[in-house]
Amino acid sequence: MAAAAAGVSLALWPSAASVSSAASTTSANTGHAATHRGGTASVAFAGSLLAVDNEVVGPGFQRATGHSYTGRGGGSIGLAHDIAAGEITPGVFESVGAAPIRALEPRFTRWYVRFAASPLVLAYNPHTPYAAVFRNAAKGNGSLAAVFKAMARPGFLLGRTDPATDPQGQAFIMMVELAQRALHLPGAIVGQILGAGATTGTGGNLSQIFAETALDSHLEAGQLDAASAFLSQAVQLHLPYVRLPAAIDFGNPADARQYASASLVVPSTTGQKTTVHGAPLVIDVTTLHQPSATKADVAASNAFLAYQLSPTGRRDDAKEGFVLLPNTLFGSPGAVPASVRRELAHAR
Amino acid sequence: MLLRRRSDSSRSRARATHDQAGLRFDVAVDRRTVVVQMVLAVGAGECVAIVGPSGAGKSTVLAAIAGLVPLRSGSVWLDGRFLSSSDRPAVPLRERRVGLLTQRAGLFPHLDGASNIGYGLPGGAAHARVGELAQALGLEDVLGARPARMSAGQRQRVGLARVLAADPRVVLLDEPFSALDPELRRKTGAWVSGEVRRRQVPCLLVTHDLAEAQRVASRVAVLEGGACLQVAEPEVVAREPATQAVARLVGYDAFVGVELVRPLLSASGAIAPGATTVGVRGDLVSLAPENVSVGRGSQTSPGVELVGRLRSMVASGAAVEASVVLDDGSEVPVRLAPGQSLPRIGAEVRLHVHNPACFDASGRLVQGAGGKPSAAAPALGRAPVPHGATAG
Amino acid sequence: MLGVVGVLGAVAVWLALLGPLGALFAHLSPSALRTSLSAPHALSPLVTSVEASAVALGVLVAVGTPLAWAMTRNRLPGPRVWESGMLVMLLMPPLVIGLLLVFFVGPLTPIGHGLARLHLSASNTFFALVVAEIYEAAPYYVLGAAAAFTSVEPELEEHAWLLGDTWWRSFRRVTLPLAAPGLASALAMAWARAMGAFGAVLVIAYHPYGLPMQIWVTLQQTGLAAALPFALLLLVVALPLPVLAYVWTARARIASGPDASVGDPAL
Repeated sequence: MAAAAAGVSLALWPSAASVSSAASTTSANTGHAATHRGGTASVAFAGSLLAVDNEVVGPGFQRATGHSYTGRGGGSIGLAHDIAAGEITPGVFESVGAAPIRALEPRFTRWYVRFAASPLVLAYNPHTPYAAVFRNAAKGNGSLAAVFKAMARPGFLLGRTDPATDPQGQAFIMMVELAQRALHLPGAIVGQILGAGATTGTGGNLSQIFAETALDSHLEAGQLDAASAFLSQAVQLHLPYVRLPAAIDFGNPADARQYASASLVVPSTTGQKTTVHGAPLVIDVTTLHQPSATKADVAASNAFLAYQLSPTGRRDDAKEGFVLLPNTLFGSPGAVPASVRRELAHAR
Repeated sequence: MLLRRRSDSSRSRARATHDQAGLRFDVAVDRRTVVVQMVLAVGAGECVAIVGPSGAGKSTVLAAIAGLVPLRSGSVWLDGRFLSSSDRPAVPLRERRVGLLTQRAGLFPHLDGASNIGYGLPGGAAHARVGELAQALGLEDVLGARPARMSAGQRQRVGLARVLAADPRVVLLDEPFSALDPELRRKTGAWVSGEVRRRQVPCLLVTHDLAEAQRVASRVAVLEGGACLQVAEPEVVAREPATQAVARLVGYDAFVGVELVRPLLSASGAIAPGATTVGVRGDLVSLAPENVSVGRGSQTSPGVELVGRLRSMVASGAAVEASVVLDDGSEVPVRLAPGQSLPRIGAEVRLHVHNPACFDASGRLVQGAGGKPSAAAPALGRAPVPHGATAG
Repeated sequence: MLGVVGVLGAVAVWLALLGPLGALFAHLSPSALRTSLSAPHALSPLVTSVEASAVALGVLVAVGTPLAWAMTRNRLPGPRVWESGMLVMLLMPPLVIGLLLVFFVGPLTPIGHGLARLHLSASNTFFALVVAEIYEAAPYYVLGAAAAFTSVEPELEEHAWLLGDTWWRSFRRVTLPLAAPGLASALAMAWARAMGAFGAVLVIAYHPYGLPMQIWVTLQQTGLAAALPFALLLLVVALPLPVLAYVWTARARIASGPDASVGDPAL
């Protein structure tokens, strides 16, 4: 999730650019629909939604509604900072977890809809000596405990993202904690897999920590034995992966209580000590009140949200590796735009 | 190893030619589209001038001896010591003990005059020799100055001092006096030939000024188009240029077909048999006196007579430089002495050429100026170095 | 002299180019500066960056200087090929360099195995940071040094050899002093590149944090206000060397350039 800025934007913008060029072609094809409505849905989303939003949902939305679409990916927390500071002014915000949206209340929004979850998986390199253990576990005819024991071996090359900035990086550490308990593994195994102090604020074995965009590259280049990944990433990049039980994969809101039993101290560059508890990795979406937005843009933003929550939009996300949850509204219903409310009622 | 072998008391004849003191070389070097070839032996204490037009390959020869350009063929020996050849590893530059002054002097821009002069000495600028050389060349004022603050002439002299300070076994000078005024030019030239004699080292001096070559050098090598046309004493080259090309380089201004020439006193051999061309040098020509009847066999002074029309006259000091056009269109310069009665422009005049040099159809000298037969003239092919030397 | 309009135009362009820098100081709050820089270990990324850059520069000087010299003295076959290679490295986005380094020196590559035998890893280590910085800074140093050596006429080296110098002695007495201002510029440029290296670092050396990484992570974690002090720190640490080199180069040009005969400010 922690992704775009400076150097990384080099990798991100080409896809965004191709979408906007597609947008102009689309408006030409669908007659003057876009010109008549004139609205642009400007969407800020967590980095893990980059592919699905820019390549599937965005273009589908344009075709279906005639509105234009621009997308911008980044870490949810970082995006929230940028929105609050007025550095960026998106009309729609899709975040991993509700906390970044809550940080924008009540000035920008007072509600959000939860519609999907993004479970953690273990992506692995099919060409290393450990691959067999993972492959068996993936097929269901090997024990998951063997996978964790393999990861605890000295010299095992594990990759994960930064718990200081990235919810996935935090969740991965807590997932190992939960796995240790659920699979009845020795208590020392958490330290053996993640390095000493991973849950107490040191970050653990720092050589395992990569920038989120770079992590996939290291695995694809065959330079890691296994890496933390969202199911959606593994699906989109065609990485072989091991699904984890719902009780430890942070993808099932029903297991929230179970997730909350794990915790870690977030390593910080500024010296503050913050403890976080496990919570489902869910996708929450809302529209943002931007004083500078035109009526047409507001209409486009609302339409995007309705499209995302519609059966078509949900199917796109499911295909890309997200686990669908029933559309659920949080916050004050009165503030929800009519078109979104209609979609919620429709689904019910 | 070679050196050790040569210290043997029993020397073979082939080796004896190498063992003489001095520089001997037989080189062929690629220079753009032409191959520069030259064969020469320069004795210890001797200075040989290389003259020729720009682009003749003069600097290339120096660079080849210094070891800065690879040899296409041939070899270079100094005081019996092998320096380089096309088929053996050359002696590294720092061990050659070759002193080279290039046209631009090549001073180190970050060092002052004294440090430049003393560069090749242990102790550098502090060495006593730096002061001596600076005094001899009038460089005391620029010892503390960097090259950027020196005049072109000062830079040349600092370069000269730097070369001689390092005690080279051969001195190679490329147009070393070109930026000096005539007075300093003469003084410095005399000083250089004195140093060369005193140190008993061979010296090669590139110049395009024959007069300078005559002053400083005991022999002149004429180079043109990459080929060495003649090597001889300066007077010999002036009198008996080996070819028409050399003649043009050493001051012959015009070449006239013999059919235009009326020989005077042919019995004394004013025109040698086989000659097709007569070389005319301004200082050998005079206007035939009007009051003297000039006719076949009636002249006392041997020579030839030319008839043409006066084209132009330009005052040159007390004298007058005149130009006469012959029937075939060729121009002959004439120097008219002061006091002589001057003809009108366009008037027909007769020129008296004293003992001209004569060339055959292939441009070779058949008779030197002054009526000397040409037997000894071409000094080509005196290959001092073995290994199948080819005359340039 | 330019006219008033010309001077104003130059000022406008200059200010526009330096505008972002002005924004840095405008938005930097003293309290944020205090908070960010007084946190425990807040300065360790600075130390990491300085150390890694110093090592990277040491390596570059040791291996890049001879390469640059050989490139300019036609000691190598196909001189254009060597230069083009450096230009390719210069054109390569640092992020791409990082991604390619994963394939080249990753722990499971042949080189990675070799490094492991030396107890080194080019993935998320100080060594990896140095490697990333070397690759980002190398083309700047090598091309800069090559330009510096090109400015020294080969004829001068030949004269030094003919006057009895060994190669090394002539290099020390002639080549190096004459190339020194240019080499200093190249070094300063490389220093700035190494200190500011981010793209390749992000990919292969996320840890240990150097200054640019610290800025990025702080930005992610707490936002712009907390990250700006580190940007200022980067500027303060990385800038003096290039400025000194620039000043020195300018003075050296005045002292030994051909214009010196016109007037020496020392007189």
